[in-house]
Amino acid sequence: MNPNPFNLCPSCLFSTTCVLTNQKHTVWSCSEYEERKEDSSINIKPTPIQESKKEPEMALV
Amino acid sequence: MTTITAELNNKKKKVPVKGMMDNVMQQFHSAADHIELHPNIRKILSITNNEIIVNFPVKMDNGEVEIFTGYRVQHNNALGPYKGGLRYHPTVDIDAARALAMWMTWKTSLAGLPYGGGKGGIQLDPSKYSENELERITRRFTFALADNIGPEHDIPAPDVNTNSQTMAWIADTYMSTRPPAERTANQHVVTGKPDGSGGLEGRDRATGYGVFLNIKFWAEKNNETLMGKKFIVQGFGNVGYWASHFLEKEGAKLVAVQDAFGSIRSTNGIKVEDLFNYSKANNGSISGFPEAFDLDNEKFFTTECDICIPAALGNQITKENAPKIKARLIAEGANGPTNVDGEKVLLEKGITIIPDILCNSGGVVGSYFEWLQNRNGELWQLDEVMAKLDKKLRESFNKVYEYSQKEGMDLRTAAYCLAIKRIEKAYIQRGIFP
Repeated sequence: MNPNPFNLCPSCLFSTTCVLTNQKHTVWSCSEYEERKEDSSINIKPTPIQESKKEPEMALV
Repeated sequence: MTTITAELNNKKKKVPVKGMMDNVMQQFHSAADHIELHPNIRKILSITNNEIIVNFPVKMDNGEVEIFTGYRVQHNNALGPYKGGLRYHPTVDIDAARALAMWMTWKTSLAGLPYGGGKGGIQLDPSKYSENELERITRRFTFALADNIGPEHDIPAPDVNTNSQTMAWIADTYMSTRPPAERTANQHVVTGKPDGSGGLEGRDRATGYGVFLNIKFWAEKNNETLMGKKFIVQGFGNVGYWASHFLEKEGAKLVAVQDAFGSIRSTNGIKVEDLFNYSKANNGSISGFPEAFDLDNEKFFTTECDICIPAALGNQITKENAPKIKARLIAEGANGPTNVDGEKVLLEKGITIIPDILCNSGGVVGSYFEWLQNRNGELWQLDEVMAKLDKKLRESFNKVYEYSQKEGMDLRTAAYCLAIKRIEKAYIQRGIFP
């Protein structure tokens, strides 16, 4: 079983109030889809490969 | 869950297909049985040609580097370069891209285009990145794909969370990697570009216009006119709006609309432009439109009408609501709005369904026109684009309609049969290398 079924609803702005469907688990295409701008329920964070180090731009003497 | 199994080098490769793609695979196998598709060609079409996964680094605004995963699945290119969208979404993965790439193969074949099927994207949530970051992600993804895409090899297009701007970045990056004298000859590496950068005039209305044309062709075949016909639309986005716009111009009457916010109805008719202007001023919602009544969402599909256009999403017409549908024609503007059980009920009731791969193919035909325009160094006017769409879609509709009449089958099965037959013919003519 694929652990990551493609589904638009969880990231859609209207996911909680949308009246178009009750089957909000297999929607792969929707004309009303609008990306949620904040508080997205899905959070896949890519892995940073470099630690950010704050360094002075010029050597301090 | 449907599983496609193909024997490859004595190993079994399993391709999981979920949700509405179950319908697509079921249709493929059913159509393949109808046309007695050669088992070897069934094997080829049951599996994808290439699957590209790229992991690539991008520098973020804060100076950190993040790694992203991008996909491109190329299902089949027997008829021409791979064609299909790129989506940016957290749940994009190889399985999703695989299933959607297959879907594109049938669609481009049925439309009579010199294309195969592909799909891809990047697994990310675009809302978490700045515009500049998205530009760098897109450009680095294009660079990582390198010669796996190309104007005569694989031509991406916009999809979920990607738009004409994304395509412009891809085109610019791809062109920049070519030798200087070849750069401008590669503009057609993507379609769906902005108007000023090789995009097609009228691309915005191509899918909706195609839905309208298919309805018009159906009416002509039945010696009917669209004047006075009542229609309902689910989804008032690009497809729903433009289909309604052209139907109204032909004298048909919009009597009910449903979007993500609610449903409205007016037996006297809803003025399409008034509703469009209202929704623009109302955060995209049709809800509360003063010249119509609110309608129970469950009752939307049961509205008295002649034509029903599901133009939003899949799995809307099921065995539960199909018996109550009053329309004589279902024009599938969305992808997969009727599920297998719902379709059985509709066909038993004698309701005609113009299937999605035919009904909403105006978009991919529009993409083909953009590609041709760039390839030939031409610029087409809007009226020219619309006339060409009319001609191309009429050819497809007539073929499907005539085949369905000849074989005594529904339009969807006929559409799949024709799509697969066209690919089969190419394989028979060319043979298999070596």
